[in-house]
Amino acid sequence: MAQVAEIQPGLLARFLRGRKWYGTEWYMTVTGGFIVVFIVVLTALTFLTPNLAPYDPEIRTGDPFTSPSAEHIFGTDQLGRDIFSRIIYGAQIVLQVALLSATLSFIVGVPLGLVSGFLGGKLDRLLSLIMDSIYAFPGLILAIALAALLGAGVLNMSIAIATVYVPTFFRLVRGQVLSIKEEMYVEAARSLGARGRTILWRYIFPNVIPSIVVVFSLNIADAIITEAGLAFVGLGVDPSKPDWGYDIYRGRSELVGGRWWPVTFPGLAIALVALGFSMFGEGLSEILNPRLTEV
Amino acid sequence: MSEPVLQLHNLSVDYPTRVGVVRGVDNVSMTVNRGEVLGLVGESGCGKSTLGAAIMRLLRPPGKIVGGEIVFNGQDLIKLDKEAMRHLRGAHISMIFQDPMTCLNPLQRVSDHVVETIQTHHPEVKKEEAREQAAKLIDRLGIRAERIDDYPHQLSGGMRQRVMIGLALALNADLIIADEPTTSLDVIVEAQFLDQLRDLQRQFNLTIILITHNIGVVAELADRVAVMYAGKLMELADVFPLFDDPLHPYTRGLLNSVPNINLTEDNLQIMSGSPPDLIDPPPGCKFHPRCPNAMERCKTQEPPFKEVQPGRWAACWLYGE
Repeated sequence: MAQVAEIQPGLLARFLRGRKWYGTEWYMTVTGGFIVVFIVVLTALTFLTPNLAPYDPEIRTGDPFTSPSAEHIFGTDQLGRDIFSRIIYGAQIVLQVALLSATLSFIVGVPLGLVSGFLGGKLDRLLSLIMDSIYAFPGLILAIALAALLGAGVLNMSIAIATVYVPTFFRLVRGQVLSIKEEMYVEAARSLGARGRTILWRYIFPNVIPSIVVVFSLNIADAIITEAGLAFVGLGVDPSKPDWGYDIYRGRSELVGGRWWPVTFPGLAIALVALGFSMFGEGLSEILNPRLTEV
Repeated sequence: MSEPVLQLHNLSVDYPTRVGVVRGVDNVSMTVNRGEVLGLVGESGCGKSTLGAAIMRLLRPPGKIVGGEIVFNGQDLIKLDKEAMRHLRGAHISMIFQDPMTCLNPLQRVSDHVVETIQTHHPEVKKEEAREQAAKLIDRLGIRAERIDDYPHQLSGGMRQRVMIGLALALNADLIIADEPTTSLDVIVEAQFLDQLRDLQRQFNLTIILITHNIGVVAELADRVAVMYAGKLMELADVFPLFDDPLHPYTRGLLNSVPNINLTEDNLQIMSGSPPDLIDPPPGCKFHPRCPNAMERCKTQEPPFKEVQPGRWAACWLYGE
């Protein structure tokens, strides 16, 4: 693991150095290749988990509360389970939920936003009202309420989180559609007899995609934190399964006794992955909207 | 010789606003004949673009056609349903817009634009055939055929404007409305563009309504000229008589205020005042507050737009009842 993390950025940085992409030199952006690598490594992790994790995360493999050592590099928890292995396995769940929920909100929010912005009128007002009501609600609270209603499990958690983020997509897309709708090329297309659906799918939608991609990535970052929040309050997956949020919940009481590792490492994992995705989003936005790039 | 393509009868367009109704186009009647270029000139805000958009039935909300007829090839466009109107656009009436830089979808290739336009109206045409047609079309417009797969940002302004013409010509439209087509081009490109438009017009016997505020462009291209002021037609005549001997005082003022290398400083006149507030237009002739020849009657009664000499229409009391 340590090897992978050291070698990869060097290679990628060398690969990217001097390469221009839409006039932006990638290595110049603060958010550069390291973040991409981080995500690549993480994704690889989730697929290679059984080979990478040194121990089975669900059974006792050492004494409870062993501090970080050569055998257990992140130490063990109160049941003697290897924290490092739990973090690696936990990545799977957190990423599943984050990707699934972002995808769900994309699937619901984007078409609604497109139609709402394009057609306008009463439908638009109704949808905007609903979306703004959801948006006005504190996200985590709403997610907790929905998750409590739906019950535990990856899919239910994803649905709860997705509901919270649908308005983000909706509002973004609707706003973009409203402005792109006024572009001359849309009017020109109309003057050439283009159908409404042609205008929506070939003229407006493709021009919204860059912003959607950015928000998608930022949403994943948000969803990771929300997922951890849900797990923390016990609305995550089966408690025996490794989950960063739930591990923090169980580890937090140990902090008083000076046992910092059960809470610190899952916490760091959440922070880093969320940071990774949000920086990735920022980087994307710099590349996709070159006007905002610092030269 | 003259077969009318488009006839406007008492066409009026309103823009209801919060502070009152603006009559953007007021009772306009005119005829456009096949194969002619009709120049439509006037100051900013006189309603010339609104008139163009009204003919396409593409008025921006809250603009609304409130009266009159738009007879195109014998049918009244105002009575057509939306779908029939959509079929007409692009196939029979096309439009060329002011700013070629923003008129093409930045994410579509030139070929996509042309193919889409052809297939919209002739779904039976295969993509390959449409592409071939597109290639021929842009080649004829002086853009090398291999650039058909370029994106708009890879083309210059002049080339994009030519692509726009290509789109307008793709289906041999009977009427082309060119709304300030050269405003955003520099003079050299503008001259080339006008030459080309003239050639194409002759070659295909195109009927064009050329909307512009640039008198020079009109002189270059138009067969007849319509002068608009405050939503109304003021004068309509063949281009040479209109330039040689303008009848309406507004046309006279307009022509005198164009800088000309032959004019001495004293001859260059400015027209005092500014166009009226259309929410609260002056009674009588809308031009009377600025008119050097205004009479008592002009302040109360609106002059009719009528044929005052053969082939010459004007709305002015100077020419009798």
